[in-house]
Amino acid sequence: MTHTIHRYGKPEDLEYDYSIIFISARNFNRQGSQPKIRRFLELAQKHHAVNFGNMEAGSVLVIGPEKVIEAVKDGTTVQAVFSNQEDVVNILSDLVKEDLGLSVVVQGLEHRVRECCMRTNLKPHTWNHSLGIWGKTELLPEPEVLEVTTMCGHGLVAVSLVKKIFEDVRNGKTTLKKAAQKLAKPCICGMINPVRLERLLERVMEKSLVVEEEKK
Amino acid sequence: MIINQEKCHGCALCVPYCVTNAITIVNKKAIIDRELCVECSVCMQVDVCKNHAFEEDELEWPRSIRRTYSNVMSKHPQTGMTGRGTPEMKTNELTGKYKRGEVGLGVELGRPDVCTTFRDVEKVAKMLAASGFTFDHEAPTTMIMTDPTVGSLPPEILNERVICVILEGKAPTEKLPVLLEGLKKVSKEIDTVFSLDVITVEEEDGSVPNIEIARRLGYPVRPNAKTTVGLGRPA
Ligand code: SF4
Ligand code: SF4
Repeated sequence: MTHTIHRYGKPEDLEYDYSIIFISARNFNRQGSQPKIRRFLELAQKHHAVNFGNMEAGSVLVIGPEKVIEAVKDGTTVQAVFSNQEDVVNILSDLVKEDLGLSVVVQGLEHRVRECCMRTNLKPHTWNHSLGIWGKTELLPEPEVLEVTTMCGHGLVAVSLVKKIFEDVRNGKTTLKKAAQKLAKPCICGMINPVRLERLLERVMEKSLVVEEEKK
Repeated sequence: MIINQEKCHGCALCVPYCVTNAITIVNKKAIIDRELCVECSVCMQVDVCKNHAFEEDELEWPRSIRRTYSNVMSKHPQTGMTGRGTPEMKTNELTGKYKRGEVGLGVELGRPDVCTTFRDVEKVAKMLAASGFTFDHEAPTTMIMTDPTVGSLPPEILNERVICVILEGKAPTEKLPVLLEGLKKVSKEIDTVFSLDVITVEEEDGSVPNIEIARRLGYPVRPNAKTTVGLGRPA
């Protein structure tokens, strides 16, 4: 999940994209952590997480909330995605109140994450920043495709799948909702943000309409 | 990964799901290019083939390392865990793995969308080791190194291709400029990409020195970042 900081996009799109990782540490708080992790997932649901899951079971978009929660064991790392700042502030407030005692890692636009911390009296401890992509960047797909593929840190959403679904959306072969669901499927950890995806697909459609207009 | 040719009806539904474009339709049957395939099992896990034609075959060393690094459900033999990295800074308020005055780096080779060979991983690892970087001994990739002090890997794995390999570790903050310079140089010598993570313990006054250094040296920093918020307790 290191890769959450590399979620690609312009700041205006990243406004709709936060993730929280809930994780135990071996030799510190792993033993007996199962109920706490389950509680975190309940709180994520309460605060309108748009996706959540864990790597060993799958994501809520594919297997449903009960199965994700049921699959939690001591030490399972779980994560949830949110599409607005208020929900993040609210879940952080609850986490402060309930003091579950596991590490909480918040990802988003840095200044927004700082605001969330300030509003909940939390102090950032250790940061992980992205210095972007280096090397043969000419091998990368176009920015809109990258916005989708980098949501899955494990790189399981294929460029070819994103391109095909963009094409299907442009040709009216699928709905935005169905397209977003399809793209979320390969990402088993539940890190795909369907709200941001739908906005992105709308943008892709608008762009193709403009291109068609210009061709006329 | 193999496709059972008797079960395949050549519908091509699986083709776009392959992360390396390894699946093609030849003579109305899907086949997999073994060189391109990184053994991630996405094609099987998405359950798109209604004929259940995908089959995971037994892999021998060194090809088996493709599955170890690319299939997120498979356990890494060295760590016994799923996942290709360590918890890095996610539990740092407890573990104290990274301290003030240090810089943590994560070099995620192959990500996004390009994949990597271990040959390129070794090039970057050797550069880091020669620049005063200490690899995290708990990281799966450090565990497979033949000598972590120089960043060397077993020669038989160098041509194997995987979705991503993460090099993790740390150095004193004063080494950051030379490490970034070295990464810039080596990034021109590899056939892949890497995403770069920079880890910093925030100072009492809220400043993040490693990022200030990177900015001062002209390296662009992405606007999104992540932080631990201390809820695991002892800081
Ligand atoms: S989905 Fe199954 S049947 Fe269709 S081409 Fe792929 S392997 Fe063959
Ligand atoms: S295992 Fe991965 S790389 Fe190989 S054919 Fe399936 S999706 Fe493609």
